[in-house]
Amino acid sequence: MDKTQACCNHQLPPGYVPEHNKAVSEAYDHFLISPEPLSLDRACALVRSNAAGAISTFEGTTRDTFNGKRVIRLEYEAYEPLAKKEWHRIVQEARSKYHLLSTVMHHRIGPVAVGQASVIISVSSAHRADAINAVHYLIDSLKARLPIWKKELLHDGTGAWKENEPIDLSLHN
Amino acid sequence: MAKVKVLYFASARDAADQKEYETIALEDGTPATLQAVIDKIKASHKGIASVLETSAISYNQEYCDSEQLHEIEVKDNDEIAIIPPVSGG
Repeated sequence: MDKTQACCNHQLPPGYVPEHNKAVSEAYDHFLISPEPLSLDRACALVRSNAAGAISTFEGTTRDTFNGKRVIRLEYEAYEPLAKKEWHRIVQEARSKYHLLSTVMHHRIGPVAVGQASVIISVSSAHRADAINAVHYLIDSLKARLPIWKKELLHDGTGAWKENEPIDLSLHN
Repeated sequence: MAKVKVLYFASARDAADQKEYETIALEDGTPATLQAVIDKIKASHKGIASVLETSAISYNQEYCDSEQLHEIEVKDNDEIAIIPPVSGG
């Protein structure tokens, strides 16, 4: 496990391995794609653990502008079976880079109004650097790899399927 | 004759007359490769070629690379999806 982390450079005592789960498992890696509103409380409850010293979270929200134009809402769709398989691969990669206890990824499909959450990622770990860095890795990997799409509805009535900007995942190495 | 299910997402669905999915049948005599399915899709939907150029293809819920398009032999009830550039999160 690389000692220098992308944004958190906290050293653990040599030879000390924090409690963690090595392999991805539906028992503690939670995945949900749903049209229902997302809840940060529900996500954190799924990863909360007495063995954790940290829970780190990310919430993606619909922004009200794109290139100076006013956005009314986003509309999401997903290819769920492939998204689940690819997400499990991403989580396994995160587990091989960081000491993680539990993870959750909830992604909304259908309309998501301005200010509302489209995705929540939450991770628990014994020490904070693993959780913080894993969340960064997970959201960057989700945006690069999961078969999920958003259509942007603008105030001028036009709508377009978005394509995520290429992400340099090498910063997580 | 192999009959496969093709799923269209996002801009691919726009180019396929808003069909979320359809059944594509390959005639006997044509090599039943994934590429043959793609060729049939292009013939059925005039505007879809440009979307296909930037899309990934999945076969039975796994991403394919371009070499596999000519290698994979499709069978009845296989599921193929057109995956335009993604924008999750």
